[in-house]
Amino acid sequence: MRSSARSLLALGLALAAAGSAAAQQRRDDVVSHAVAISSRDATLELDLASGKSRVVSLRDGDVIVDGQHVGHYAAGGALERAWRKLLSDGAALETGKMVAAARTWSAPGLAGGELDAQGRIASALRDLASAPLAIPAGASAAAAAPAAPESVRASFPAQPLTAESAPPPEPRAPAATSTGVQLLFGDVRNIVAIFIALAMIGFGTVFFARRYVEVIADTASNAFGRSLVVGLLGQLLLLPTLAMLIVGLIFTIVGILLLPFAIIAFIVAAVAAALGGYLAVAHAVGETWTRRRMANGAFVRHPTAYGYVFTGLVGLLGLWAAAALFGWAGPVVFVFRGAAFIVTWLAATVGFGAVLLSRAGLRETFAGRHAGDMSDEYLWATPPATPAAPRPGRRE
Amino acid sequence: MKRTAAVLAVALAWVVTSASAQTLRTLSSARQLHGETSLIVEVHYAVGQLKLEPASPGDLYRMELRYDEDKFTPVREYDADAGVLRLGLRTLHGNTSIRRRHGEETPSLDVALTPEVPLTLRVEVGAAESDVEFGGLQLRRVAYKTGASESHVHFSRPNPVECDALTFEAGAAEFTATGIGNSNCRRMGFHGGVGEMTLDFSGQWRTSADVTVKIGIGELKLLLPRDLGVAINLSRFLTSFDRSGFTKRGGVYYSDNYASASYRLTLNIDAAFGGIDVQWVDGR
Repeated sequence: MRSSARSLLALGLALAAAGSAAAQQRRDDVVSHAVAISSRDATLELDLASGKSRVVSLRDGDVIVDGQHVGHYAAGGALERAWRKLLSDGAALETGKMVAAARTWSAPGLAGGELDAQGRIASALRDLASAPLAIPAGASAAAAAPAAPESVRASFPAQPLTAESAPPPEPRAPAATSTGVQLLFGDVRNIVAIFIALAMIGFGTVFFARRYVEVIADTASNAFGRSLVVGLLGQLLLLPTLAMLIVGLIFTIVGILLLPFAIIAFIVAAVAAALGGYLAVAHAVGETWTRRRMANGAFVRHPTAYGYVFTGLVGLLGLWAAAALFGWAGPVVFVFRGAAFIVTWLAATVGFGAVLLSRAGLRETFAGRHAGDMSDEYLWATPPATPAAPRPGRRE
Repeated sequence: MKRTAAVLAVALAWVVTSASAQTLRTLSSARQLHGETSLIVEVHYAVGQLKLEPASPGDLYRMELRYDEDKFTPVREYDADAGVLRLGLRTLHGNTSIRRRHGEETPSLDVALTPEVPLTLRVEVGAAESDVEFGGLQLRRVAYKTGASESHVHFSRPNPVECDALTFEAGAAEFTATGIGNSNCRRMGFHGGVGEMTLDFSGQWRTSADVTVKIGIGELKLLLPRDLGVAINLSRFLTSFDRSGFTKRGGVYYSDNYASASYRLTLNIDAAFGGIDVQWVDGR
């Protein structure tokens, strides 16, 4: 009786030991591998089924296993050469074959410390085995999908998958902007929005800096050609000027600190000059048109700089509006678009040149504001005194 | 004289070191299938060249990454419980901009994903050239986002599973997608900022699809199979549209075979400042 009990106990212990070994073996199954090679190190990382990993690395003369220093190697020596060959050959292998290659790896011709280090590496890899391959069985794979984490699910549209058998969808009902008239309105709406934005900026500029706007506008009117040439040169020299500014600041050493602010200030100034110039040209266009109307006898109540800017913007953006209105007409639209682009560029260039010429409205040299002789208009209003004929009988 | 020579030698060494300061590292990684039934894959890649394609049978994924280890760190994470795989490259120390010196090797990332498991895929690419082959992969959902880059996406073989949604976002980029008909996807979205977008809808159509296309400034080229019924809802601003092969009814452009076609493609296009060019091609 006692002997049979002993036998059962021995059998139980043996089974438990075998089960433990199997479990241990399963835990050490390698499920993936990574090989990293650089001039500094050569590393093999094996991910185990247990969630742990085995990392063997040769780095800067040290042999490291799972973060522990286990030996040394000579740079460019036999151990390093053999290890790098194993990794570079194994990088393209499947995980199972990589593990098999690593387990049987050995470096020939080693001695001393390198031989010991190789032994430590071999013992670290000896107990590993690759996990069995398990390919899912086609359709069942799709059915048993694990739920995605919330962070991942949030990245994708949440609409459910529709059945394949559902009838093909009819085209979407014409959307709010899909009819020709609505498309037209959409284009015109954009132009109107741009117009309103420019008008608001223009009115603000006139309100706060009327004198300067008028000087720039007068410069553009009276020295159109000169403004155009200066504007063109200004556009061409913008980038070189910025480059010179940067280089100059760098040379001063102290100026390096100012570099970011200087670049931002330069860009802001350039944009302000172009936009301000464009608005000043709008002012000039509006003023010219209004004065011509008045000269033709039209009655204009209170002509002001605000009215000039408004009228000028209507004129300058009119071609864009025409392009939008004729969007349905095919190639004709390109004519309008081309004309609108040229006019816009011309206005911006002339305005930019006028800003430069007038030093942002501070200099009136080219604004045609001479304090010289009175014009014929004034001569007509106040005719010069006619010398009276000497009275008869009166002596000089 | 000796001191001058020494200084020059040090300066020269510094220049040489600076010019070749790139410390290239190659990382090869692979994982085999171990009973996975589906997979969520996130690929984040900032700079360089990206290649994505189907893996060999038995591989869950395979990645080969070549990068400068002084600037980047690789991403290689797999959460077996959630079925989420994250791959890619991120900058070190939270750097948001990477300056490349002249002559430096371009980083590269080659990713191969299993064709044996349904995938939910999210790809985010920064300033990189990407060449993506989705043909043969089991795609359930794809969200592909790219910044300033050149991207070529191919569906050269049919997607064996139903795809719920496919979205592509491209910033300032040249974006080309071919064989979209093979994607087997009902809803698709292509959003481009500035650049050129080419969408080739050829392939084996097995379902009708609703596609949204938005492009800011640039050219949109549509390659449409002749046997596909196509309807276009167009919203445009200063954009030309080649309407050959279409009849306009109620604000919608219909292809002549729309009523009789086995599968129908509804394109909702929103475009500004550019042109839409349509080419009719043979289906497959």
